[in-house]
Amino acid sequence: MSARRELRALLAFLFAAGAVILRWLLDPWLGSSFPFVTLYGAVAGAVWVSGRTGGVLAAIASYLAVNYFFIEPRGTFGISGTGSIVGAVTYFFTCAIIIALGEVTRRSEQHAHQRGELLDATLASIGDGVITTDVRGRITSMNPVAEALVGWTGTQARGRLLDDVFEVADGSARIDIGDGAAFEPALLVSRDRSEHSVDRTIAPIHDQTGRSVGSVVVFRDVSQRRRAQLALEQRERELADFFDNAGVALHWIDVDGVVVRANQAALDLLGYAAGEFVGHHIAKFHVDRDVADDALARMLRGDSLSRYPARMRSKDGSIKTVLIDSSSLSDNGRFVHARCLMFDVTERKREEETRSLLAAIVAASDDAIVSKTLDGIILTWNDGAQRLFGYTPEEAVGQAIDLIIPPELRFEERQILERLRSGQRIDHFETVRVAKDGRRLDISLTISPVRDDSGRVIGASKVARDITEKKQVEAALRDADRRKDEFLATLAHELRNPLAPIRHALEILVRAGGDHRLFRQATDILTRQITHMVRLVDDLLDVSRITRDRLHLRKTRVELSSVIEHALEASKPLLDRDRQTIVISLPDRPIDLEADPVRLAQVFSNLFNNASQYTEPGGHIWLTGEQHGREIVLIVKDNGIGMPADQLDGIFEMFAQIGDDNERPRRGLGVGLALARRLVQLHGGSVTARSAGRGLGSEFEVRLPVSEGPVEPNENRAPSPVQEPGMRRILVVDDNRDSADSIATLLELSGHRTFVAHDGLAAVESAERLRPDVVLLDVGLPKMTGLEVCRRIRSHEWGKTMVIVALTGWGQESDRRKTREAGFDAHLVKPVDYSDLLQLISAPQPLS
Amino acid sequence: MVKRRVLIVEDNHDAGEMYRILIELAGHEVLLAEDGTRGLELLKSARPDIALVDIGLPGMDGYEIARRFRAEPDAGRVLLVALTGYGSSADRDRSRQAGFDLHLIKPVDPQALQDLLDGHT
Repeated sequence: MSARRELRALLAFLFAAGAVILRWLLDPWLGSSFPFVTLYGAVAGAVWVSGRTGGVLAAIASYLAVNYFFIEPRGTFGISGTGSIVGAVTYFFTCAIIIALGEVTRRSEQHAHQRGELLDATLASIGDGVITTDVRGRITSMNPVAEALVGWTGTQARGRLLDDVFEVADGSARIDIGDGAAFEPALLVSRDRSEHSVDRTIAPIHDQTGRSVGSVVVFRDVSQRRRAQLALEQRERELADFFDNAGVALHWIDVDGVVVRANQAALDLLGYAAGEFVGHHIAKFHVDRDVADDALARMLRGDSLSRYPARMRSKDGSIKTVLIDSSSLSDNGRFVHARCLMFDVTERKREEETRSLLAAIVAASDDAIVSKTLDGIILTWNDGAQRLFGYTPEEAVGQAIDLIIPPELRFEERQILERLRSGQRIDHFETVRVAKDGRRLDISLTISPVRDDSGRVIGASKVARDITEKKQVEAALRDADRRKDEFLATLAHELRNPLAPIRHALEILVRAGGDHRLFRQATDILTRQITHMVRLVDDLLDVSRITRDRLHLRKTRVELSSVIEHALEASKPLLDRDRQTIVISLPDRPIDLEADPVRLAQVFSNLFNNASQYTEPGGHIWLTGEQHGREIVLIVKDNGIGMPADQLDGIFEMFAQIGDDNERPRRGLGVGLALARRLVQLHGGSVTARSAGRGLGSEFEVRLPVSEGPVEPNENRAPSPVQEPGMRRILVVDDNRDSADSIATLLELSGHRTFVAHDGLAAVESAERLRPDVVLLDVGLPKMTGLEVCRRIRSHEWGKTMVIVALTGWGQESDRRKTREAGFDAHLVKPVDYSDLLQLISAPQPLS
Repeated sequence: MVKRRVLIVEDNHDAGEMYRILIELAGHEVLLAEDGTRGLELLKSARPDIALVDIGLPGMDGYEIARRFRAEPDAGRVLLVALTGYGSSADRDRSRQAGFDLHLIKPVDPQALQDLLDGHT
């Protein structure tokens, strides 16, 4: 500080010295006048440079020098004369004024300078660029930030137009600023052509009088901020895009439960347009109101939902099953909104349902369904498998499939696994497996490879069906087939048997010549054997009717004993031949049955024949009948060869024959019992067989319902109309058995149904019972003549429409008249022309 | 013509009668049995030249008769002929094994029967 003061003092003396020297130079022209004239400037200068002190120093120092050198007497400092005193006073007064003014000016200058310095420092230190211009827009100043931004130095820019320096890319830098400040962003192009985003403010500068003297431009480089902002905006857009286009369904729900935002996936999921979803209460889209309320309550509480199941209603009305995840946004504990994700699990749900269904099917299946790995380890085991094989799932799962494979078939499993590995399926492979209890099971296997998502075979599913029953059925079919073959062989045999005597009888007829006895013998045999063949053919037809279920009954009220009588009559030849006896024991009182008398007689005849056939010659047969309630129980018993227990069921089968193959000679077609059973069934009864075993005889028990109540008039019970077209039921009455049989046989061969009676009483009884369409009546009969038989038949209502034909050896007109009067429709004379007879029978029945 | 003794074993009476008449008409002697036991008896005791044996018989069947008779000494002299309605090759084999010389299927052709009696077979 002292150095500056000394310097200022020195400067003051230098001013003083200079002024003195200048006076001295001017002295020749001034002399003693105006001694102080040059000093005032020096004082002013000293004041300017060195301040008030300097001014005083300079004023005093220069006065002393001037007083010494230029005031008379020169060379002294004394003041002489009044003039000198006035001059000195004036001088110092003037100097005082100069010093005071100078001081004021200097101080003002200093102040202004300081302010300028401060402004400059401020402008230099702030981050904004500042440019000032004069009123004409020429630049007057620029701070360093402005210099850096525009690329001009202050010196270069000063005096240039603002527009040249502050160049903008998008419009004039000069804007009409009016009186106020204007703010606007602009893109500044600096001198090196680089661009900066700037915010700028332009404001006018006024002087004290309010007159505009220029303007100031303040601007700021906002490039970085703008970039940050752009980045922010970009991120915002990306987020919005992410939200809108996310693959998951998103929506926001506000505190009122209203959807405030939803993305495309959410809209797509439910099929709504944005306006139909956003702005609506979320509950509107829930199927279950309580679920919606619960979910909303949880979200408002601030809870997060996780895999929350709900059902949403789509616009098309379909219901989507969804799982909802949510998180709530809170601001200082205040709920703002909940952000929800919906996962459509409708398909998954359906798949689950399908899977459950499949599982239920597998569980409920009667088939054993087992899955296993490619190493043959059991993975699953359903109830069917447990039922079939006996192992529980706990016992089976994890075990090798060998568990159920017989040791000798293990190789099979290896082959199966090999084929599975190559992706082949195995269909209906029939094999044998072992159950837990050791039973061997016939099963049919269908095995399919199980693949993973990539198609790789990872195991096998196996469906096993118990075909034991099927195998049994197959065996039964084979058995039936075998029996059929046997039957055909038997049939051939049975037909050949009567053919042998027939052929020989014909041969005898050829050779008999006039031998009447031989002739008669041969024809008798022909008749008998042909009748036998007819019976065989009848049986065959019955078999055919049974198999086609075309066997029909002609039921009427019949008395049991008469049925048994007819059966005995039919079986008698067989019993007689083998000298077998039959003992009949029936209830004393009549037992009425609702039955087809012919068919029911056939039942018992078949049972008698069967008993006879399986009983040694001379054996015994019994028939006992007892009524039990509304049933009559009839037992046909013999002391024959009996049956092993295992054959009891089979004997009622068609073509069944007791015995092994050809061990025993066969008799008959093996249809008798089958026919008997079917006929009994058709009568509403049953037939069963019993035997204590081989050699111990057999018993056949027939149960039939008994008719209750009074016998109704027969007239009301017309025979069943079911009858083959053209077929007539014909009663042949002749005391000559061979004659009756031969005619009956002939008629049977022509497709008619015949019955035979051998005396008059039997004829009437048979006609009443059987209601034939035609009666062929021999006139000369024992017990009652044919004429009387005809009259009796005609006396009944049922007998009015029967065709009754007389067969007689008498052909006189008187004979014909007698038969006509008795009620005969026709009169044929023996030997009857067979074709005439057939024509007569086949003609439409005369109306009564 | 050699008069032969012929045994007929046939349970069908009519058939048996017809054989008898035919064979007698041809001038031969006929023995008739209607069951197997009687047939075997006559076969042993009467020693016929030819025996026509029905296979399907009550009691003892034709096979059994043949087997039992063939077990007898000096049985080879009798020509045993099976008569049956069964004609399959298995049936023929069976009758051959039982000891029959011939197997004829019913109804036997009268000419074949004649040839048999004449010894042309």
